[in-house]
Amino acid sequence: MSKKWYAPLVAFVGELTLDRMRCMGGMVTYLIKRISTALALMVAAVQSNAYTAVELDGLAAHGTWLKLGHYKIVTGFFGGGYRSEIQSSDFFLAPTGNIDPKSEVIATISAMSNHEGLSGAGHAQCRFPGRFLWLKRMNPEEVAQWPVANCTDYLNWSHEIGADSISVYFASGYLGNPASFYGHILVKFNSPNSAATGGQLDRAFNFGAILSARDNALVYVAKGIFGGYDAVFSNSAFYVNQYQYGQEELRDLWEYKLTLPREDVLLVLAHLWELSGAKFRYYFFKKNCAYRFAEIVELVVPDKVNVEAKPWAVPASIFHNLAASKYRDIPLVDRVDYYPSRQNILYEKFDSLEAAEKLAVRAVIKSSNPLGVREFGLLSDEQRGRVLSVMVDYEDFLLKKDVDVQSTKSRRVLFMKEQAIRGRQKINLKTADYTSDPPDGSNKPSLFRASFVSSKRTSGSLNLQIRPVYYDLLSSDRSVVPFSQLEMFDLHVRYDPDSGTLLLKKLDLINVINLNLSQTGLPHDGGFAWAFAAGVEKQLGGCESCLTTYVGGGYGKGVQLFNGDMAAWTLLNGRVETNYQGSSALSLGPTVGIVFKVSHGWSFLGEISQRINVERRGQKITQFRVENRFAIAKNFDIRAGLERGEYTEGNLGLSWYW
Amino acid sequence: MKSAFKFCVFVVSVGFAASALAAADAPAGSGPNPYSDCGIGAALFPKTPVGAVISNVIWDVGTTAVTSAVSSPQTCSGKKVAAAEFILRTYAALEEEAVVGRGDHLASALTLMGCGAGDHQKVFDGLQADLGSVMDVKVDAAMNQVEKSSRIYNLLQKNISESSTCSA
Repeated sequence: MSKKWYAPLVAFVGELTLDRMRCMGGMVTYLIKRISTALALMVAAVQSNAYTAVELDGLAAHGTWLKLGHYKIVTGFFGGGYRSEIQSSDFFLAPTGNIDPKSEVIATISAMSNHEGLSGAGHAQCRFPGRFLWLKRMNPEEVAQWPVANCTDYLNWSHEIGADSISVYFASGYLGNPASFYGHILVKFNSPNSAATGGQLDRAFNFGAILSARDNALVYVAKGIFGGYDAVFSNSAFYVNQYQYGQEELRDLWEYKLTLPREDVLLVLAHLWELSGAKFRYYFFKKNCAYRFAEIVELVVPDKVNVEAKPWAVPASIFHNLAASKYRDIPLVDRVDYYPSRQNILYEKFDSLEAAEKLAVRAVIKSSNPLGVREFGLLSDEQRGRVLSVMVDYEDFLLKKDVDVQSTKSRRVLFMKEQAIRGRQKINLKTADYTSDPPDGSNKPSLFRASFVSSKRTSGSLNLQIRPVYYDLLSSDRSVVPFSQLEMFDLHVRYDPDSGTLLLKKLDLINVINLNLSQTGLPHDGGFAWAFAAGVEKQLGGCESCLTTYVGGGYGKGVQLFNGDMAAWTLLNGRVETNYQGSSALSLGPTVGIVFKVSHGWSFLGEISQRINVERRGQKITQFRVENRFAIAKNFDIRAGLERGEYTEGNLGLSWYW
Repeated sequence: MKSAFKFCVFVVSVGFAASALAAADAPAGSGPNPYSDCGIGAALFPKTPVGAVISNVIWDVGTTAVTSAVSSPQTCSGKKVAAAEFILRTYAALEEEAVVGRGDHLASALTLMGCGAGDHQKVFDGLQADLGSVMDVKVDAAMNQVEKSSRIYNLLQKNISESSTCSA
């Protein structure tokens, strides 16, 4: 291997003077010619070693190399090729490395075997340890002859992380921020002391857009959807993430620990090192955290984890794929652990209390002398310990909601001091059992449903529904906010065999309901129920093909009944729609509804609402619907119901979740 | 001249007395307090709420923003700053564990402070007892998070120094 591998490039740059480039056309021709010459010389230098042209072709086309460079196949007017999704030019060693995997592999081999700069962090072996590990894996004899660079920074970093295994985390959806509706993915490297510290000191990696504080909400949404933001991988101690999600945003976490061997764990870690600072373009619906972390896992897992076929990527899909994947004939996921949010810890602890303890909690909350109330005094030491534990969580919960902050802070200190004093007695507290279905435990997030619809007006028609994401009030998914609904781009088309017509019935751009239920019945638990929807649908009273565009919302209150199996709510709704053929643009009215989980596989929804048209002298339209869901398999259910709008329709449908 | 000399003696005496008092206030074995001496409190919580700072740090560049903002005299070892930062960021959960004498956050803090798992329970017990004594409803409710974190840090240092094998 020539020690002066870069000599052609130096010569090329040295000759690059402005007076030699008299016009743009000349410059382009000149550049292409010189780059080609430089590369040809570099290829010759690399081939002078053990790599033949065939081997270089093989390396350049290898799946792992393409993944390390984040290359995607692109098609263009003049033909197809590769283009890396990394925007940062300094990620590539070859001048055309972002579009030419072969030139990049040649430049990489050349730079990796370079004898210059071995003591600095700038050597290719130090900048790209992932590529180095892979090349070593592919051709160990050749790489063993290369000089060894002194990559102190990287070695210290990886040693400090001490990666033994990898866990992929799902943070549940957060209805407080539209960007987090579908949940979030992060990856953690588990160190040897992980078990002793709950993994809090382990290193975790995030992927997210680099936001600008100057962007308002509309700009934020537009740039997020259409690629207006750069995005990078970042890392921090896991406790930073755990605290933000579990304590600040009250989101549950599920940990999927993978069964990867250590050499693959180290390859993933090395690749994340070389991705430091590398910028991607961020697209909210597809090229997001779910997509990028699936790519990271696929670097070492041959099974398909990502969702290339869909134009969207949601974290839940990735976890379904992870759970179904195998690695060297064993399941890729070793185990799944659940970490409840602060709010769910309170719920679980309260739920695990005995009746007398719950009474004491309610009495303590009401009293200005909390530890002096009779209900508390009647309890045993252990029971008092459990009540105090719940009370501290409850006061934290109130602080999160900014309820009477100074008084809440004082009460929290009071309960904690009492715990500290009593702790000396070494009370053995019963702990709550925290369990929940993992995100892959329920149906997949995308829906296709075919329903037979019958009414007095037609002999029968076929309704087809496609909903890319995510869930409705009857869905089985327990990893989402309970008794809520989040539907996006929900498309309904109707085929009428009598007339042979196919009509758009409805396209909901978004349809969100959050009943915000109190699960404990304690003061301030739960809040107002709310709903928001916008889209296009068939206009009531209009012709079959008459559509109206609408935006509507509701505000009200829901309650939880029958130990959490039933929810009932009432909302006051407002709705604005395009005024068509003299109809009213503005309507108001109430909705009353219930959802009842009758059994494990059967749930029921009933809803009645009234629209009072403001511009048409209070003309009233009453609508109702009942719907039953019967689960028949993890990704299939049957829906049967009755709906009354302009006329009454019965429907029976088969759903497939994918 | 005589009065000037008296003034100097007075100033020096007051200085010594103040130093002695300050030394007496600091828990045994505590050394410098990273929150005040290393600037970590100001770096993490200048004027903004906890959540906002943490969120920004996550979104941008991990903990780089924090560590680059911390002035680091030689006495502020990386270990101490890391432990202080951990306590500050996870304070509410850590305090809850401290009063019941067990938990992952406590174990993490002690690990960062260089205390082996074998000695953890002894330190937890000492911390729990100390908190039972020093917590005061009115005083604590008025303390901010940096002050409370600093107190826990010092109490942990004290109990570690009293432990046989922990090296803080």
